[in-house]
Amino acid sequence: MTHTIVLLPLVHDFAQNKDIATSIRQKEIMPFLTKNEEVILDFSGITGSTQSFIHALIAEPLQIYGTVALKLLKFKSACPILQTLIGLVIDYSLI
Amino acid sequence: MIHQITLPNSAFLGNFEKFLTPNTFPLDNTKVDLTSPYKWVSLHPLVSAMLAPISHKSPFLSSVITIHNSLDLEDFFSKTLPSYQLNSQDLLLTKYILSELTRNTLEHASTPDGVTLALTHSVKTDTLRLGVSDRGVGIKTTIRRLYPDQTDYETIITALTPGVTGTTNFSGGNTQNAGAGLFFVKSLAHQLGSHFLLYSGTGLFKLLKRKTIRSILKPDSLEDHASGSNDFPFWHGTAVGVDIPLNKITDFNTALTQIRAKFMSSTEPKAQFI
Repeated sequence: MTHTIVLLPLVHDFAQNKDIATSIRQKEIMPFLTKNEEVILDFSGITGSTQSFIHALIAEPLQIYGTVALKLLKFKSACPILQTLIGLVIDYSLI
Repeated sequence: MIHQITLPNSAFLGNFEKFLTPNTFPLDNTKVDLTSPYKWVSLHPLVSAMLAPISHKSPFLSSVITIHNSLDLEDFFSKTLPSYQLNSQDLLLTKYILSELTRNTLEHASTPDGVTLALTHSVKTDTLRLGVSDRGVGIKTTIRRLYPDQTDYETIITALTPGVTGTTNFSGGNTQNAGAGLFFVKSLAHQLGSHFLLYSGTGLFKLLKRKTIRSILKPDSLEDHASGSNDFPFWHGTAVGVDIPLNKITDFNTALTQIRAKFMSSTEPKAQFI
Protein backbone atom coordinates (compact mmCIF):
# COMPACT_ATOMS: atom_id res chain seq x y z
CA MET A 1 0.00 0.00 0.00
CA THR A 2 1.24 3.52 -0.84
CA HIS A 3 0.52 6.65 1.16
CA THR A 4 0.87 9.97 -0.72
CA ILE A 5 1.34 13.30 1.05
CA VAL A 6 0.79 16.42 -1.05
CA LEU A 7 2.84 19.08 0.70
CA LEU A 8 1.93 22.35 -1.07
CA PRO A 9 -1.40 22.93 0.72
CA LEU A 10 0.35 22.34 4.04
CA VAL A 11 3.54 24.39 3.67
CA HIS A 12 3.03 26.86 0.76
CA ASP A 13 5.60 27.40 -1.98
CA PHE A 14 8.56 27.96 0.38
CA ALA A 15 8.57 25.14 2.92
CA GLN A 16 10.03 26.48 6.17
CA ASN A 17 7.58 25.63 8.95
CA LYS A 18 9.32 22.95 11.02
CA ASP A 19 6.28 22.49 13.25
CA ILE A 20 4.32 21.31 10.24
CA ALA A 21 7.25 19.17 9.07
CA THR A 22 7.39 17.53 12.48
CA SER A 23 3.66 16.90 12.49
CA ILE A 24 3.78 15.35 9.00
CA ARG A 25 6.69 13.14 10.04
CA GLN A 26 5.02 11.96 13.21
CA LYS A 27 1.48 11.49 11.86
CA GLU A 28 1.90 10.80 8.16
CA ILE A 29 5.34 9.28 7.62
CA MET A 30 6.47 7.25 10.61
CA PRO A 31 3.25 5.23 11.13
CA PHE A 32 3.36 3.99 7.52
CA LEU A 33 7.08 3.26 7.45
CA THR A 34 6.64 1.29 10.66
CA LYS A 35 4.17 -0.93 8.77
CA ASN A 36 6.69 -1.26 5.92
CA GLU A 37 4.45 0.75 3.59
CA GLU A 38 5.63 3.14 0.90
CA VAL A 39 5.28 6.91 1.47
CA ILE A 40 5.36 9.38 -1.41
CA LEU A 41 6.20 12.97 -0.51
CA ASP A 42 4.76 15.09 -3.31
CA PHE A 43 6.61 18.42 -3.57
CA SER A 44 4.70 19.70 -6.63
CA GLY A 45 4.55 23.50 -6.63
CA ILE A 46 7.16 23.97 -3.90
CA THR A 47 10.01 26.16 -5.12
CA GLY A 48 12.27 26.18 -2.09
CA SER A 49 12.84 25.05 1.45
CA THR A 50 15.43 25.02 4.22
CA GLN A 51 17.75 22.30 5.40
CA SER A 52 16.03 22.54 8.79
CA PHE A 53 12.60 21.83 7.30
CA ILE A 54 13.79 18.81 5.32
CA HIS A 55 15.67 17.56 8.38
CA ALA A 56 12.54 17.78 10.54
CA LEU A 57 10.60 15.97 7.80
CA ILE A 58 12.81 12.97 7.05
CA ALA A 59 15.85 12.69 9.35
CA GLU A 60 14.15 10.58 12.01
CA PRO A 61 13.05 7.72 9.72
CA LEU A 62 16.50 7.70 8.14
CA GLN A 63 18.18 7.61 11.56
CA ILE A 64 15.92 4.79 12.76
CA TYR A 65 15.44 2.63 9.67
CA GLY A 66 18.55 3.55 7.68
CA THR A 67 18.58 2.51 4.03
CA VAL A 68 15.27 0.64 4.48
CA ALA A 69 13.60 4.06 4.89
CA LEU A 70 15.19 5.16 1.61
CA LYS A 71 13.49 2.29 -0.20
CA LEU A 72 10.10 3.18 1.25
CA LEU A 73 10.32 6.98 0.93
CA LYS A 74 9.75 8.47 -2.51
CA PHE A 75 10.22 12.14 -3.40
CA LYS A 76 7.92 13.30 -6.18
CA SER A 77 8.41 16.49 -8.23
CA ALA A 78 11.24 17.81 -6.07
CA CYS A 79 12.90 20.83 -7.72
CA PRO A 80 16.75 20.96 -7.81
CA ILE A 81 16.92 22.95 -4.55
CA LEU A 82 14.79 20.37 -2.78
CA GLN A 83 16.85 17.56 -4.30
CA THR A 84 20.02 19.16 -2.93
CA LEU A 85 18.55 19.54 0.56
CA ILE A 86 17.01 16.06 0.58
CA GLY A 87 20.33 14.61 -0.58
CA LEU A 88 22.17 16.45 2.17
CA VAL A 89 19.85 15.22 4.92
CA ILE A 90 20.07 11.66 3.60
CA ASP A 91 23.87 11.88 3.45
CA TYR A 92 24.41 12.94 7.04
CA SER A 93 21.54 10.94 8.52
CA LEU A 94 22.98 7.70 7.19
CA ILE A 95 26.51 8.31 8.47
CA MET B 1 18.88 56.78 36.40
CA ILE B 2 17.68 56.42 32.82
CA HIS B 3 19.78 54.11 30.69
CA GLN B 4 20.94 55.85 27.54
CA ILE B 5 22.38 54.41 24.36
CA THR B 6 24.34 56.74 22.12
CA LEU B 7 24.15 56.20 18.40
CA PRO B 8 27.01 57.01 16.02
CA ASN B 9 26.33 58.81 12.76
CA SER B 10 26.86 55.58 10.90
CA ALA B 11 26.90 51.93 11.90
CA PHE B 12 26.80 49.09 9.39
CA LEU B 13 28.17 45.60 9.66
CA GLY B 14 31.61 46.70 8.51
CA ASN B 15 31.93 49.19 11.37
CA PHE B 16 29.40 47.76 13.82
CA GLU B 17 31.89 48.20 16.67
CA LYS B 18 31.25 51.95 16.48
CA PHE B 19 27.75 51.26 17.76
CA LEU B 20 28.70 48.62 20.33
CA THR B 21 31.86 49.85 22.00
CA PRO B 22 30.63 53.12 23.59
CA ASN B 23 27.45 51.54 24.95
CA THR B 24 26.16 49.05 27.47
CA PHE B 25 22.87 47.23 27.09
CA PRO B 26 20.29 46.55 29.79
CA LEU B 27 20.06 43.04 31.19
CA ASP B 28 16.27 43.19 31.38
CA ASN B 29 13.67 44.74 29.09
CA THR B 30 13.69 48.13 30.80
CA LYS B 31 13.20 50.79 28.14
CA VAL B 32 16.25 52.88 27.29
CA ASP B 33 16.59 56.32 25.71
CA LEU B 34 18.38 56.66 22.40
CA THR B 35 20.49 59.71 21.82
CA SER B 36 22.95 60.88 19.22
CA PRO B 37 25.15 63.96 18.83
CA TYR B 38 24.25 63.79 15.15
CA LYS B 39 21.03 65.06 13.61
CA TRP B 40 21.03 62.32 11.00
CA VAL B 41 22.17 58.81 11.61
CA SER B 42 22.53 55.96 9.17
CA LEU B 43 22.18 52.54 10.76
CA HIS B 44 22.14 48.92 9.71
CA PRO B 45 18.72 47.36 10.39
CA LEU B 46 20.40 45.05 12.91
CA VAL B 47 20.69 48.10 15.19
CA SER B 48 16.93 48.62 14.89
CA ALA B 49 16.22 44.93 15.47
CA MET B 50 18.32 45.00 18.64
CA LEU B 51 17.13 48.29 20.07
CA ALA B 52 13.43 48.48 19.12
CA PRO B 53 12.29 46.02 21.83
CA ILE B 54 14.24 47.78 24.57
CA SER B 55 13.94 51.46 23.68
CA HIS B 56 11.33 54.17 23.65
CA LYS B 57 10.03 55.02 20.22
CA SER B 58 12.77 56.73 18.26
CA PRO B 59 13.06 58.33 14.81
CA PHE B 60 16.57 56.89 14.59
CA LEU B 61 15.27 53.35 14.12
CA SER B 62 13.79 51.74 11.04
CA SER B 63 10.59 49.74 11.31
CA VAL B 64 10.79 46.24 12.74
CA ILE B 65 8.52 43.24 12.89
CA THR B 66 8.22 40.70 15.69
CA ILE B 67 8.05 37.03 14.78
CA HIS B 68 6.61 34.60 17.33
CA ASN B 69 6.24 31.53 15.15
CA SER B 70 6.61 30.19 11.63
CA LEU B 71 3.14 31.44 10.68
CA ASP B 72 4.21 35.02 11.44
CA LEU B 73 7.17 34.51 9.13
CA GLU B 74 4.89 33.07 6.43
CA ASP B 75 2.77 36.21 6.78
CA PHE B 76 5.85 38.40 6.41
CA PHE B 77 6.88 36.48 3.30
CA SER B 78 3.49 36.92 1.66
CA LYS B 79 2.67 40.50 2.70
CA THR B 80 5.91 42.43 3.16
CA LEU B 81 8.69 40.73 1.22
CA PRO B 82 7.04 41.24 -2.22
CA SER B 83 7.44 45.01 -1.79
CA TYR B 84 11.22 44.58 -2.21
CA GLN B 85 10.66 43.22 -5.74
CA LEU B 86 13.45 40.64 -5.52
CA ASN B 87 14.27 38.38 -8.43
CA SER B 88 13.45 34.70 -7.99
CA GLN B 89 16.94 33.65 -6.81
CA ASP B 90 17.34 36.54 -4.36
CA LEU B 91 13.86 35.82 -3.03
CA LEU B 92 14.79 32.20 -2.33
CA LEU B 93 18.07 33.29 -0.74
CA THR B 94 16.35 35.86 1.48
CA LYS B 95 13.61 33.47 2.56
CA TYR B 96 16.21 30.81 3.29
CA ILE B 97 18.33 33.08 5.50
CA LEU B 98 15.38 34.60 7.36
CA SER B 99 13.79 31.19 7.91
CA GLU B 100 16.93 29.63 9.36
CA LEU B 101 17.77 32.60 11.57
CA THR B 102 14.28 33.11 13.00
CA ARG B 103 13.75 29.40 13.52
CA ASN B 104 17.06 29.15 15.34
CA THR B 105 15.89 31.80 17.78
CA LEU B 106 12.41 30.39 18.23
CA GLU B 107 13.88 26.99 19.12
CA HIS B 108 16.92 27.92 21.16
CA ALA B 109 16.49 31.39 22.69
CA SER B 110 13.97 30.35 25.36
CA THR B 111 12.12 33.66 25.30
CA PRO B 112 8.40 34.34 24.95
CA ASP B 113 9.16 37.66 23.25
CA GLY B 114 10.00 36.09 19.91
CA VAL B 115 12.50 37.45 17.44
CA THR B 116 12.76 40.96 16.04
CA LEU B 117 13.46 41.32 12.37
CA ALA B 118 14.36 44.37 10.28
CA LEU B 119 15.21 44.81 6.60
CA THR B 120 16.36 47.73 4.53
CA HIS B 121 17.27 48.01 0.88
CA SER B 122 20.18 50.21 -0.11
CA VAL B 123 19.48 51.54 -3.57
CA LYS B 124 22.99 52.92 -3.84
CA THR B 125 24.69 49.53 -3.38
CA ASP B 126 21.69 47.39 -4.38
CA THR B 127 22.03 45.47 -1.14
CA LEU B 128 19.36 43.99 1.07
CA ARG B 129 20.40 44.34 4.70
CA LEU B 130 18.91 41.99 7.27
CA GLY B 131 18.91 42.16 11.06
CA VAL B 132 17.53 39.45 13.32
CA SER B 133 17.75 39.78 17.09
CA ASP B 134 16.38 38.28 20.27
CA ARG B 135 16.60 38.86 24.01
CA GLY B 136 16.86 35.20 24.88
CA VAL B 137 19.44 33.13 26.72
CA GLY B 138 22.21 33.51 24.13
CA ILE B 139 24.39 30.95 22.39
CA LYS B 140 26.61 30.19 25.37
CA THR B 141 23.68 29.07 27.51
CA THR B 142 22.22 27.07 24.62
CA ILE B 143 25.30 24.93 24.07
CA ARG B 144 26.75 25.13 27.59
CA ARG B 145 25.75 21.55 28.36
CA LEU B 146 28.08 20.24 25.68
CA TYR B 147 30.78 22.92 25.85
CA PRO B 148 30.80 24.16 29.45
CA ASP B 149 34.16 25.90 29.50
CA GLN B 150 33.91 28.02 26.38
CA THR B 151 33.65 31.82 26.34
CA ASP B 152 30.86 33.58 24.44
CA TYR B 153 33.16 34.07 21.44
CA GLU B 154 34.28 30.45 21.50
CA THR B 155 30.68 29.24 21.62
CA ILE B 156 29.87 31.40 18.60
CA ILE B 157 32.70 29.73 16.68
CA THR B 158 31.46 26.35 17.89
CA ALA B 159 27.88 27.13 16.87
CA LEU B 160 29.08 28.00 13.37
CA THR B 161 30.85 24.65 13.03
CA PRO B 162 29.11 22.15 10.74
CA GLY B 163 27.31 19.45 12.68
CA VAL B 164 27.33 21.19 16.05
CA THR B 165 23.95 21.70 17.67
CA GLY B 166 23.13 22.61 21.23
CA THR B 167 20.66 19.80 21.49
CA THR B 168 22.88 16.80 20.87
CA ASN B 169 26.43 15.79 20.00
CA PHE B 170 25.20 12.77 18.06
CA SER B 171 26.58 12.76 14.51
CA GLY B 172 23.74 13.66 12.16
CA GLY B 173 21.85 15.48 14.90
CA ASN B 174 18.58 14.40 16.49
CA THR B 175 15.08 14.32 15.04
CA GLN B 176 14.82 18.13 15.01
CA ASN B 177 18.31 19.58 14.53
CA ALA B 178 21.53 18.80 12.69
CA GLY B 179 23.71 21.82 13.46
CA ALA B 180 23.69 23.06 9.89
CA GLY B 181 21.53 26.21 9.98
CA LEU B 182 24.07 28.83 11.05
CA PHE B 183 26.85 27.24 9.00
CA PHE B 184 24.68 27.43 5.89
CA VAL B 185 23.77 31.09 6.48
CA LYS B 186 27.37 32.09 7.11
CA SER B 187 28.46 30.11 4.04
CA LEU B 188 25.87 31.83 1.86
CA ALA B 189 27.25 35.20 3.00
CA HIS B 190 30.75 33.89 2.23
CA GLN B 191 29.73 32.96 -1.30
CA LEU B 192 28.28 36.42 -1.77
CA GLY B 193 31.57 37.89 -0.52
CA SER B 194 29.44 39.78 1.96
CA HIS B 195 29.23 40.62 5.63
CA PHE B 196 27.80 38.22 8.22
CA LEU B 197 27.81 39.21 11.89
CA LEU B 198 26.90 37.06 14.88
CA TYR B 199 26.84 38.65 18.33
CA SER B 200 25.88 37.01 21.62
CA GLY B 201 26.88 37.72 25.21
CA THR B 202 30.24 39.46 25.00
CA GLY B 203 31.30 37.61 21.87
CA LEU B 204 31.18 38.85 18.31
CA PHE B 205 32.14 37.14 15.05
CA LYS B 206 32.15 39.07 11.81
CA LEU B 207 32.74 37.63 8.36
CA LEU B 208 34.37 40.44 6.43
CA LYS B 209 33.47 41.62 3.00
CA ARG B 210 35.74 40.27 0.27
CA LYS B 211 36.80 42.09 -2.85
CA THR B 212 37.91 38.92 -4.62
CA ILE B 213 35.17 36.62 -5.80
CA ARG B 214 37.06 33.36 -5.48
CA SER B 215 37.59 32.03 -2.00
CA ILE B 216 37.46 28.56 -0.52
CA LEU B 217 34.59 27.81 1.81
CA LYS B 218 35.98 26.76 5.17
CA PRO B 219 34.27 24.69 7.88
CA ASP B 220 36.37 26.26 10.64
CA SER B 221 35.24 29.87 11.14
CA LEU B 222 38.59 30.73 12.71
CA GLU B 223 40.08 30.29 9.24
CA ASP B 224 37.61 32.68 7.63
CA HIS B 225 38.45 36.19 6.49
CA ALA B 226 36.83 37.48 9.65
CA SER B 227 37.24 39.42 12.86
CA GLY B 228 35.91 38.91 16.34
CA SER B 229 36.65 38.76 20.03
CA ASN B 230 35.12 38.25 23.43
CA ASP B 231 35.33 41.77 24.83
CA PHE B 232 32.20 43.52 23.64
CA PRO B 233 29.41 44.92 25.84
CA PHE B 234 27.16 42.11 27.07
CA TRP B 235 24.12 41.51 24.87
CA HIS B 236 21.44 39.45 26.55
CA GLY B 237 20.48 37.25 23.61
CA THR B 238 21.69 36.79 20.07
CA ALA B 239 21.86 39.22 17.16
CA VAL B 240 22.65 38.37 13.55
CA GLY B 241 23.19 40.68 10.61
CA VAL B 242 23.60 39.69 6.97
CA ASP B 243 24.04 41.79 3.86
CA ILE B 244 22.75 40.37 0.59
CA PRO B 245 24.11 42.03 -2.54
CA LEU B 246 21.22 41.64 -4.95
CA ASN B 247 21.35 40.18 -8.46
CA LYS B 248 24.64 38.43 -7.63
CA ILE B 249 23.55 34.81 -7.24
CA THR B 250 22.32 33.45 -10.54
CA ASP B 251 21.47 29.99 -9.25
CA PHE B 252 20.66 29.51 -5.59
CA ASN B 253 20.89 25.74 -5.94
CA THR B 254 24.51 25.92 -7.10
CA ALA B 255 25.36 27.84 -3.93
CA LEU B 256 23.54 25.26 -1.78
CA THR B 257 25.24 22.39 -3.58
CA GLN B 258 28.70 23.78 -2.82
CA ILE B 259 27.83 24.28 0.85
CA ARG B 260 26.37 20.79 1.02
CA ALA B 261 29.66 19.33 -0.22
CA LYS B 262 31.63 21.29 2.36
CA PHE B 263 29.21 20.34 5.14
CA MET B 264 29.52 16.66 4.33
CA SER B 265 33.29 16.69 3.97
CA SER B 266 33.61 18.20 7.42
CA THR B 267 31.09 16.01 9.24
CA GLU B 268 31.95 12.58 7.83
CA PRO B 269 33.51 10.41 10.48
CA LYS B 270 37.25 10.31 9.97
CA ALA B 271 38.97 6.94 10.09
CA GLN B 272 41.52 6.65 12.86
CA PHE B 273 44.49 4.74 11.50
CA ILE B 274 46.85 3.53 14.18
